[in-house]
Amino acid sequence: MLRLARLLYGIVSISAQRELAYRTDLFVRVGLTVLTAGGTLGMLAAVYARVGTLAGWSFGEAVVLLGMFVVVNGLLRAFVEPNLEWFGGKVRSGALDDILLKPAPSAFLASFTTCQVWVLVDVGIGVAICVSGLRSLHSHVTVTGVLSGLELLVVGSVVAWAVRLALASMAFWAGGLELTVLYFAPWQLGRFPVDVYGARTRWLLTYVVPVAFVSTFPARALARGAQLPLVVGGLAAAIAASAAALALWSLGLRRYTSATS
Amino acid sequence: MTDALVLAVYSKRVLVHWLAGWSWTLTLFANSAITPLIGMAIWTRAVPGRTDVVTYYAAMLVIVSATNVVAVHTFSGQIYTGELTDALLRPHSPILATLAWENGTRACNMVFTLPLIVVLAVLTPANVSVAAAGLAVPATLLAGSVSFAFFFALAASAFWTQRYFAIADAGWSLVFLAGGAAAPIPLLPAGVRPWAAALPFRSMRGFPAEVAAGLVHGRALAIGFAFQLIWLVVLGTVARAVWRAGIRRYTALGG
Repeated sequence: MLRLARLLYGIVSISAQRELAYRTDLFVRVGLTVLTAGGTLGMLAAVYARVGTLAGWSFGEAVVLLGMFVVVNGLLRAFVEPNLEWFGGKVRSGALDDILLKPAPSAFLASFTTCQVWVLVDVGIGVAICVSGLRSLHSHVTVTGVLSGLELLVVGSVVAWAVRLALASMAFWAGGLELTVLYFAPWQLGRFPVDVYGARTRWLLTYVVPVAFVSTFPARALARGAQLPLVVGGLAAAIAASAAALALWSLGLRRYTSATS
Repeated sequence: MTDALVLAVYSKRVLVHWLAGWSWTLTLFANSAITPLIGMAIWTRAVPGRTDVVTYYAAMLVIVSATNVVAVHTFSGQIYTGELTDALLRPHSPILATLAWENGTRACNMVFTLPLIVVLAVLTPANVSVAAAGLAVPATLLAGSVSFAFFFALAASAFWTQRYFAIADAGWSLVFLAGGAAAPIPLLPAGVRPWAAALPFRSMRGFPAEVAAGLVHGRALAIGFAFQLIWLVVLGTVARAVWRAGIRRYTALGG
């Protein structure tokens, strides 16, 4: 684990050196994230101008949730999506061979080979959004709530990574099938509490495309206090999702034969 | 006449191209369709019992599909890679290829949209009257033209900068926020409503959806159409000016 942490540090370091040559990209990234988050905040403001609560969530709680979403989305877009998006193309072209020949776990390298460092600014913006939402809830914020919120934030990131790794692994069985449709569109539902959606959609967003883990559960813990079943359940979900994704990856890798001559 | 035939041939080729790569096309469609579906979920929860709001977002789903603009991926890409040279050497306007990409993409989007609309018609109380649908068609055609003019002008920023994707993304954010996707314009706070109604973004998305849902009538309907025509002229003029200024800077990619 320590070796992987050192490897990740090296990857981030090299990526940062590469991206520091394009400092304007930082300002572009900040502008885009602020605009996108601003759009969702504008939508929330318009809704809460009419209602006091939306599916039991106050405006402050919804803002905290949006902040959590921006943080997790930033982590995924910085570390995971540059590598796992369009993975099918890498399998078909033989670029996967380069990963398999390196002396590190292939699932780790396939997920984290490059890092878009400037995208990490989203994490800062997400934290700022969370804090602004929490300021209106200060009487409800507790230390255990914050700790459980952070734990569930990590759980959400791990679950989201596991889902992406599992989707990428499908390329070993159906190389021409790109499941990128499941990377972006359903995850946008996580900008709002899953309680807003119908019962069947809520079930799908909890157990099939686990968007609820990305934002709703961490925000619920942060804004309303720790709930032991949620904390323990989240940890179990992260372990189960990671194990399942890695098992699927290993199974798929057994089918893989080099695409290059 | 010749240009129309060329456009038709190009458009058909683009449609076949999209249908051949259906997984990528489905991704593009889902990414644009998710916004009105989220809006429908949020606003039906916020203002329960309003069937016109459900109809509004169901109509917006069709309008988003019918007016989506991909010029930033096609036209900007051509400028950046030098492929525009090939279009400039052909005996017709280089804009025809860009227009063909819009037509083909929109037609392909409708292939995915129509089954979804049938599902929504069965599962939700969305209901569009024949009269409203009749008025929504020209509003949607105008919305598609206004959208194209706006995003073509943004896409032409590739003549000057490599950040054209960021500029286009900023444009999409404005369309989402002020175009009726984040909130139907009639449901905005009273102080903001007139400003949002006057901006071009409502003409691109929200106004045709309001027409289909029966949220605008009489004088407000006429004013909405007038705004669409005004913004089409203004943004069309801007797009033309940006194109002319940009093409003078363009130098062919050699080799």
